[in-house]
Order: sequence, then structure tokens, then C-alpha cells
Amino acid sequence: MQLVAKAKIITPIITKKRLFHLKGCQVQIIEPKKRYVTKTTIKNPLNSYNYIAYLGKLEIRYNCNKKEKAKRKLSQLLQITSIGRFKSDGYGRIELLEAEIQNSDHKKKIPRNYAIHIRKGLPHNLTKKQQELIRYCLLHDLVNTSYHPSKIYVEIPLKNKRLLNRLKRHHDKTKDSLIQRFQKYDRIASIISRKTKSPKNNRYNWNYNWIRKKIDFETLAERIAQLVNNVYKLYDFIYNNKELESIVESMTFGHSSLKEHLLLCANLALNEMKNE
Amino acid sequence: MNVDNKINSKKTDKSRNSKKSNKKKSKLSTNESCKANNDYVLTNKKQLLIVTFYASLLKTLNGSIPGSKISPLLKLYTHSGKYNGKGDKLKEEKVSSYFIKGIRGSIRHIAMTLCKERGIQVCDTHDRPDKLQSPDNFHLSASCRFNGSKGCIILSIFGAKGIQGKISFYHNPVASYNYDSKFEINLQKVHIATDKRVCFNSENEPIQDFGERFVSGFITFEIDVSKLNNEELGLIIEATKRFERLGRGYNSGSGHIEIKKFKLVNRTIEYDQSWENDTWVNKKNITDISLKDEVLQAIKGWNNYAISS
Repeated sequence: MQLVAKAKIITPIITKKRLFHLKGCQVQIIEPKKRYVTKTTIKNPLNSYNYIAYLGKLEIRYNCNKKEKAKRKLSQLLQITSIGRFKSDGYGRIELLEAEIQNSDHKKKIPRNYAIHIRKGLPHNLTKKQQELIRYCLLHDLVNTSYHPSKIYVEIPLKNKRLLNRLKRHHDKTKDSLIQRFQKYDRIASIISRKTKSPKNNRYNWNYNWIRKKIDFETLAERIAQLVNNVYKLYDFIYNNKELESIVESMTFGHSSLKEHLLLCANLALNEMKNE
Repeated sequence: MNVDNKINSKKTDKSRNSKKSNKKKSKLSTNESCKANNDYVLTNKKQLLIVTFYASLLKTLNGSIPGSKISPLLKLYTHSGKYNGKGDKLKEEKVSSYFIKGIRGSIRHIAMTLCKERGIQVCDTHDRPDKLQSPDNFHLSASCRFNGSKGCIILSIFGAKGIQGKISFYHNPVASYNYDSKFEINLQKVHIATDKRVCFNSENEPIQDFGERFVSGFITFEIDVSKLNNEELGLIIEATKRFERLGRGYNSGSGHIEIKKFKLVNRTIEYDQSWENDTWVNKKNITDISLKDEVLQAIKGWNNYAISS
């Protein structure tokens, strides 16, 4: 048996995820619309705190054995007026519309609509051409180009100069088939990750970072350069690195991280390789 | 002012007579107005401070600095409402609603200055270096709680990082519409204007766009005050009387506010929890009872607290 309740969102809910738990129930935001909320300070007006907020509708699900438990849960849910962060400022106000008790023998899983799934590790038996493509996807933003400098402020010290020159041309129009194929994945990855505008003035701000430590970019670049020949170790390094997560990928969309962008490009390429 | 949320129910199950459910029996209470067939009636009670003010120029913007486009207000939805046109024909109107920021913060600063005038030490959240140079009657936020004491009055009301406060603000979203159209949500009618302003070079080339948006009109907001003491309620009533600035650009003429109405209210919301074929639809009744004597008692309580401390 399952209680399914629907609610409308009046003021935006400030959360990181669209699926979370509340009083033993699963809550999901449906038909989401993203907004960004800023909190400025007079001391430092250029660097403001930006938060992502969601508007739309809510779906609440509760699994139980008896009808009376479901009815009592509804009375608990009616006492909730707001969800998320900064409730006292007026954000996160909701209102329940209707509820329904559905008979089901087994627990239903909520369908998760992901655009793409990011893998923990690369698959085995990759050909050399496929490894070359994935290596290109993982290193493209760590090199100085005519369009922008490297996003870790330091260029990777690569010994393979042919690779280096190829990486520097990833924004240019070329006849190289590998670069043309990569540019398709780069554009799709930016469409997926760049959705809410939250402008920033710094690509990396160690004062407001959760690590609270300065990053040594030169040693980071050297460690990446040592793993260039082995694609599997390079992917694992980027997947588990926390310093790349704190660097912002684009300044107009301040909630994007470099690590996410690099892994998205590689996984979009792997998705197409599956279907080939 | 402590307020209870009551749940009125009927005892029909045998499982409620067990030992585990005996603890719940003391909280539950029967009522003659209960409906038959296991129907529950839920009542939520709150104490609210409802305030209406008039603002001629409000700039509560969502962003750190104006960018290349006109710096925006926090936009919520686009609503479509219907109104009676010529010949009683129904016509449609589309409207975008916005959210006003910064009410809680401005009332907090007013409460801090009130305490400072009376000589009470409170938590400090000022950012400006002018005000930090005079640290009389101010201490670091939440530092008053480390010595085993309860903390100052402002920490108990507004809270701090990791410490929950007792107060919450809410206002219905704001929109500008021309006709008497009906929407899904209660919207407040205001006027929204855009000020287009561009900075030019000596060679008449545009450098930066300083355009902004303004809001003007009558706006109401409500404060949930049900968890506060007599003294704390008096502080907030005194602070809302002095509420006179909101948003940006105060020194250049915007953000000036006049309070027009002010009332304390006991609100009861009754939810009808009748189920038909395992479905429930929200139908609620809202009743407001105004309280006048309690306002004066709260102000007396705050004055006595300020004299004694």
C-alpha cells in the first residue's frame, strides 16, 4: 500500500537535489524550474553566495501496510508549511492539494530520469582509438588555447608534443575527425550542465571553499602528466579528486565544476561506443 | 505565547488499548464535533503579526552587481488569469510574479539598535567597518551561549549558524496586472518599472549597462510569532513600528517605507480530512481573531525586561 500526495510550490525550495526524504517519506520535485538566489554582504559585495532553488510540483510517497497509518501520515504532512533552507526568510513554502491511497503488493521504485550515468571506472577492452578519444576528453580544458587559458592556471607538462598541439586546437575549426567528434560531446555536456545563471568573479576562491586550503596547481599538473599514458588510472584520478571539484568550469554558470564537465564528455563518448 | 496543534480523533481500534499506545492517549482528546466513520479533523493554530506598508521605490535585486542585462528581481512563475471583458466575455491575461528579499534582515538590524539604545548586549551581524569600530553592547554572534547561559534575546529569536530561531516571515508573491483577474495563488498588485541606464565612453561607445528594476505599491507580509515570549514579542512589535528601509539605494532615494496597518491575530486553519474512495482533496477554513490587549501587554513586558537587564 502506498500513499501518494501532490503539492504545489509557492516560493522556491533551496536544495541541491530533487529527490530527498522527509519524515519517512520520499519527496520528489516534478516539472522543475531552476532559479538562483543570492546573498550579498557589504564587506565583500563582489563574491556573493549563490544557491540553486527549484519551483514546480511535489510528489510525496509513503509505503505502509494499513490505511490508518497512511491517514495519520497525512495529518503529519499537513503540519509542514515549508521545506529546505532559509525557511524563516520565506523560501520553500508548499501547499498540499490532494492525496490518494494506492494498493500495491511490492514497493515501487521511483523512476529516476537521468540524462546520462557517470561511471565509476572505464570498461575493459577499449581499442587504441577509443582510448585516444577518452584521453582527449579528459584533458581538453587543462591546456592554454587561443580562446581561454587552462582552467587550472597551469599548463600540463606533456612530453608528447603532437598531443599538446592537438589539445590546443579543440575550439578551432579543423578537418581532424577526432576533434570534430569531441566538439559534439563538449557542446552537449555544456547544454546539460549550464542551466542556471549564477555569475562569479573568480574561478577558484580558496576562502569560501569547503576544503579551506590553497591548491598547489603545479603539483596537480605534474601528477596528471604522469598518468597520461594510462587512461584507466587517469579516469580514476579525476573521479576521486576533490580539488578539481572545487574549480568552476564557467564563470557565468557558477554552479558547474570542472570535474563534472570532464567526466560528462568522457561518458557521452562511451555511450555512443556502446551503441556502435 | 505557547500554541498547541490539536488532533481530534475517535477511538475505534483495539490496538490503541495496548501499553505502547497509552502514551499517545494523554495527547489525544475526544471532541463532540468529530465526524463518524473514522474521519479526522485537524486544526492548526498560529499567532501572526500582519503588517502592510507602502513603498514608492523598492530595489530588492537578486544579484551582486548589475551585468550586461537589466539586473533582475527573483522571478517565480508566469500565471494566467481570466477576467470579464466587453460583453461579459472571458479574456486571458498572463502575468509574471516576483519575490521580495530582505525583510527579515532589516527587522533584525532594527531590533539590534533598539537593544543597544537600552544598554542590552546582543549578538552582532554588522558587516560595515563603521559600525564595527564601536563594539559597545555588541558581541560576536552566538558567543553568549558558550558560558552555560541561555544567550541574548536576539539569539533566541533569530538564531545563528547551527542554532534554530523561533520566528519566520512570509509574504504572497508580487505581480503587476491591469484587470481584476483571478489566479491560482493570491497575488499582490503592484507596479513594476524598469530604469534603463547605460554608461558611455568619450567616443560614445557603451561600456556597461546599469539598468535596474523597481517595485512600488502596497505590500503585506506576516510574521509567525507563536513560539515567542511576552518580552520577545514586544521587541518585534517595537521593531516593526520603526521599519523604514528595505533593499538597495537608500542614500539615493529608494527603499523608503511607510507602515500603514499593523495587527496581531490568532489564526486557526481547519482541514477537512474526509476520504472518499481512498482519495482526499484539500478543503480548509481560515478564521482570524484579532488581539489588542496582548499587544499592550507585550510592549509592557519588553519595557520591564529592558529596565531590569
